[in-house]
Amino acid sequence: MEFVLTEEQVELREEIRAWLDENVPKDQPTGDDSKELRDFDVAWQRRQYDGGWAGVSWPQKYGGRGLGLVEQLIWYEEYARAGAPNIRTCFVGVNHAGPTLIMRGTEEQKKRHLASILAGDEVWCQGFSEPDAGSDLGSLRTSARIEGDDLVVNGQKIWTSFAHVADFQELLVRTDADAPKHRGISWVICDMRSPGIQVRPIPSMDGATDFCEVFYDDVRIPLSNLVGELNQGWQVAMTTLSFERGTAFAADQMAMSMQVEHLVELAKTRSIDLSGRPAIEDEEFARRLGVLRAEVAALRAMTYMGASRNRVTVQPGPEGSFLRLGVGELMQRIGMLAMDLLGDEQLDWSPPVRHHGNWTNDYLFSFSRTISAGSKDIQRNIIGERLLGLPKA
Amino acid sequence: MIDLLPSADQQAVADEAAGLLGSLIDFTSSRELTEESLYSPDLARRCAEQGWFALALDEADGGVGLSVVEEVLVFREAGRHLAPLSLIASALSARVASLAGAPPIRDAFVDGSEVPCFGQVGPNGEQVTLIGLSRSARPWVLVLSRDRKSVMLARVEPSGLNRLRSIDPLVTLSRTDAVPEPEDGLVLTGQDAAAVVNHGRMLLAAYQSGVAEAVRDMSAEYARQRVQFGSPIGAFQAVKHRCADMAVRAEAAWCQTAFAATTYGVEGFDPRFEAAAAKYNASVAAIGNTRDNIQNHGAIGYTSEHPAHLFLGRAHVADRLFGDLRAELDDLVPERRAVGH
Repeated sequence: MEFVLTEEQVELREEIRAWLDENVPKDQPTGDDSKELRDFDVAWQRRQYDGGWAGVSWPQKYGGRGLGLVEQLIWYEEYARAGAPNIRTCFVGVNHAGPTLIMRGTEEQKKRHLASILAGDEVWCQGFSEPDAGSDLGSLRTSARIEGDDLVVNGQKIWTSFAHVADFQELLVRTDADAPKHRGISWVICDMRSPGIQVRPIPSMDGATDFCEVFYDDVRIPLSNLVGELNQGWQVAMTTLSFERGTAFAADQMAMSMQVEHLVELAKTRSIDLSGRPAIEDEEFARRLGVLRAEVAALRAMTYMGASRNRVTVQPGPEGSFLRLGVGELMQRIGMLAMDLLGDEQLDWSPPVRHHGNWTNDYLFSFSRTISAGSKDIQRNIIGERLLGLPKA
Repeated sequence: MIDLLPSADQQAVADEAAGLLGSLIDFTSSRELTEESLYSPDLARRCAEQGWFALALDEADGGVGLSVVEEVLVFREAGRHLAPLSLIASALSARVASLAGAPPIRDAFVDGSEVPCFGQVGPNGEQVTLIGLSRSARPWVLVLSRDRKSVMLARVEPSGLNRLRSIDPLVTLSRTDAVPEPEDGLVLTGQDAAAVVNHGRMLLAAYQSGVAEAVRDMSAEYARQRVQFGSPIGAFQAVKHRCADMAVRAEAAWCQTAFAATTYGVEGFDPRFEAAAAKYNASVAAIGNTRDNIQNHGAIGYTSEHPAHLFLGRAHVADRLFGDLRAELDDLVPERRAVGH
């Protein structure tokens, strides 16, 4: 147990801060047009890549900087402090498709995709959930049969963010209908421009239009796109989810600290009662801010603990569920306190609403955080069963 | 290097402490428990032999020359084993005596020959409640002022002590109307007092983390064994998720405690904030988990034959020391005072 930044890490932080100062886009998109968001996001991703900052902890041979998880966290901390844009459309590629390929992909797949993901040349989406396979992901039914050198896919995925602007997809398909449900699944790279794919956006409650359902009608995917062995996709999916739960939201954790500080500032200028005094002078309200600060602090410490564990295990373990659960629930509590502080203003959600950065918007968005990457109930099952050794139902 | 996992050497310190406590404390053996009967009079001295009360004192000050990191690892074990809180008072009193320039008194705490207790000043300032058992003829008591701006070591006359019934039968409670005065000028103010408060909060946070972890494990064990409706109750989501929440709270408590301890003295980190956040998270975890632990055990957990209630009482006692949940939240939002007072 120690917390000693090396001289290199101290210098790295300064270098990062200076670079972000110069390069963070001043204006961010205000609308919800997914195409516009993609254009903005990939340009910003490209800029980070050219600056050498995309994939701080990715191996150098795949376009990363080859540093450790602590350096990655330093990047996220500074990124949040600089108010840099949410990674958004590049999230899936950079934060879990990429890491999955690094762990499980063939050398050819790595060469083909990793640097492109980091450079913003490829946007990825996630094709896991189906209408009848949400929390019970293992019961998915989208099928793939082998024909020659191809898989032929038929079925439907749903709740796929940015499917309509993505280039590739992490796709889970059933390749053996007779095997036990977790042993007949394969993880495959799907080119979203393949013939037979139809995408229909589904507006979400925060006004965003990035959610989609995806239909597959005899979609041909070369067998060489299999990640991991045929029918071994469940293990690969668990790798993907371990990154999605364990490390992918480190940037969000850092950003929440900034959000709470913004709320403290807001509480100095707004009143919540008839006296007109600032909310921060209200003992009870100040303590509620204190609770958020304490919880943000604990989450930051848990993030560092996660990085310490991952140094040993490489792939995040079930402890990642602590972070996923913590981030989701805390984001919602922050949102609720913000609504309380805003008073009647919380009701006014007129455009232009910035995609993230508007309190009402953030509050509505926060509902997704205890659903995606496994609902909070699933996270509690994982903690109970895999960390505490409790029996399955 | 940034690493919140213990090194092999640090783990060895924790394991040694756990081994000692495991051999000396067995709270499952008897129903008629008191602090005097359960804990060996030898306990403090045995802990002292492992260097417990001088771990983070410099070698020049008669200390072991390690840091608060080793201390939190040791006092986390103390919480897991429900060791007496006076052990924390010993470590803090040695620190106070050291800062106040009283080496002989410091050494008496360090070697376990004197064992202090905590003293809580009452609302009118005229009463002091002693928390824990000082085995000295004239008990030593470590008293933090109500505004937490000064800390002193005093001795009280045993004749003036009224024994109270304690929420935790293993923590002796007594009250005196005599206002204690610092012994031999053993009083700290300003930066020194603030440093002792931060230090105390980290050790108490470690202890509360240990309490939270112990009952988490107790609940998980019970949920694996206890069968109702033909199934171990841990298979039911209502119970499983309550256990998971206990694990989350324990994780938050220990991670923040480890973070506060490892960043203590590191530029760019505010020790008051980190220590207050540690004790807040850890007390929330200890109180929340000990409550859930009783629920998980059902009626067995409500009986005095089961140790669940001992952990609950201990969590509440430790919460009161060196500021409570409200005090810690106030320290996390100094802006309120800056603006309003």
